[in-house]
Amino acid sequence: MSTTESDLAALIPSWLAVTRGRQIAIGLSREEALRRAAALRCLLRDGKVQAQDGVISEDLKDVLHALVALVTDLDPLPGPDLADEASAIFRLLSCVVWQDDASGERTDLMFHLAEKGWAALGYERPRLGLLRTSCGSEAPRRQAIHELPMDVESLSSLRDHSLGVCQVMRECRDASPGLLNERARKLYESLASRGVRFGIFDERDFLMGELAFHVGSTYRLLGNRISAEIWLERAEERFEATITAPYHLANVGYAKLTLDFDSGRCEKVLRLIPRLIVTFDQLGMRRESIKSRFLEAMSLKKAGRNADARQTLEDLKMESALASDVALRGLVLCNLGELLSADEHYREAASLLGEALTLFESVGMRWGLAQLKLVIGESLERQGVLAGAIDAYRAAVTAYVEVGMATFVAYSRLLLSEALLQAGRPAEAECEILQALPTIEEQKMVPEGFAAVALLRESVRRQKADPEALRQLREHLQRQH
Amino acid sequence: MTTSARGAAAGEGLAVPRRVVGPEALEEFHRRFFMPLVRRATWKHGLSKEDARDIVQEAFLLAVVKLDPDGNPRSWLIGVVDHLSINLQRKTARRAKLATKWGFQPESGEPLYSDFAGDLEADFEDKS
Repeated sequence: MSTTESDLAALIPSWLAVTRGRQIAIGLSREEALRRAAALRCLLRDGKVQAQDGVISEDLKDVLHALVALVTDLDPLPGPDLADEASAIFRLLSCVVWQDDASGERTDLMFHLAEKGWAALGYERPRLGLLRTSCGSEAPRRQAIHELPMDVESLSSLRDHSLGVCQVMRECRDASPGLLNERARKLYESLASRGVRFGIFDERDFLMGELAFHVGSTYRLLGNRISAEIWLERAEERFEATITAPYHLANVGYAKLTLDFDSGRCEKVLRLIPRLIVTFDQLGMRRESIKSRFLEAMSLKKAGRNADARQTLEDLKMESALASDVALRGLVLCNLGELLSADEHYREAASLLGEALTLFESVGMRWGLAQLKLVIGESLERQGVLAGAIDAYRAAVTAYVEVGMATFVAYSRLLLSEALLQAGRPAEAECEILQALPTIEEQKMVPEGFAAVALLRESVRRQKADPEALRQLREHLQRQH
Repeated sequence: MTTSARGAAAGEGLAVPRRVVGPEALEEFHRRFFMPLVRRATWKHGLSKEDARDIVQEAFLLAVVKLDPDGNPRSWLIGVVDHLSINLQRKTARRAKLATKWGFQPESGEPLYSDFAGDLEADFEDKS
């Protein structure tokens, strides 16, 4: 029976009693370990050590510690040579079986090698963290989704592979979430195959984490929350094995809160988001900090605290850092416009929505454009411009269909059908309801047995759509939306 | 090799509740918990193996009194070993500096401080 973590504390008194005044084996001396490590270093340089799966002895653990100390601190090679040597030892360590590693010794050694190796290449940990999360100013060139490689071979042939790929994914996420989801999943599976090597140090884990993160994020955009959660968990596991883990884990934390937001758990979001904002600020992730404040505003809005939400969005609008983030600025303006419209400040709202339209179009943010059309429809409906509202809702449905956001398509159809009923066009309204209901049920957008759905289906079957059931269903989804 | 004077001094007179355990369990304890901590003190903090061993024993002694059984014992011990190692390094450096300044060369094996263990414990208490 192996000693567990909880046994540790219980065994200490016995250990002290037994060892008092007695010899305790401490393995190789520091000098002997260093001597053997120097010999192993020569063998490694000559390519005479093959990394193989195998359990290592306690003495070899000391030698490996000494080897890492020699290569990184005691007798390091200059610049890129250090990175090459550290990378070779990193690969060696990744293959060995480090028995009884309750202390995470092997991981500590690998992290130390990776940190020193990246630093030797000019990537100190904070810089690498910001670069990997695209907060740095050295983002690689823009690429298109079709340039995203589909397998490990073509991936490895890219010049700045992992960072370049991540940049492509970030830039394509808003425009083509469905396509990105499919490609990122294929690439993840390709990298996950046993024995596949990619990049140096923690690059494989970083890229797999990033791919899983994008799959999870796009699943959320596409309305598949269960898959989104699963993939975000995968991303977290992978990111934990990178030296830049705090940066990525903060991002995953944000993505998980967006899922809570989608599920209507606004109080939870409002409770946790201030801590996340502080973390982003401490890590120098300015954009993510602003995104989190935007999520805070959206949660306030969803929780019915419109005045607080409006104030937060007004503050964000004035943020100088937002000027360079076109998509996020568009979302801030779009939502502020929606709140102003709800308060019947139509002129100001129209101005903001117009500006948001220009911004979304400039970056091809299709789901942003779809949301904007929905907001314009609601604003027109409030003003009694039913024909205009119906046109805007139809445009929103088309836009959401184009980006494959099924749950949003269904929600938009319900808004459209309400407007059509008000306009005295019940046949068209029933047609929209019939198209929306299957998605609402398949995607579990309402709890099982939700009465309004059954009432609505029955009323449509009798060709007399029930406006009250429609309103109840729409209001339920609005709280989730 | 025996535990050092300072380790023994700190353990003397300490009445600790202990359960009867077999040699296999202690061997596993040595492999899973003791040696990784010794290696950490040796390679992360640059101590000799003997100093590292004494530091780990010091940490275990502190654990008997201070370790929260509901907390994370491994993380707690790592923190204490790091703290004690840094303290030892600092004190060794300070003593070397003083020795150079006053032209004094300590005899081999002479303890740095007469009550080193108590000193370390006091330091730890100050900062924890």
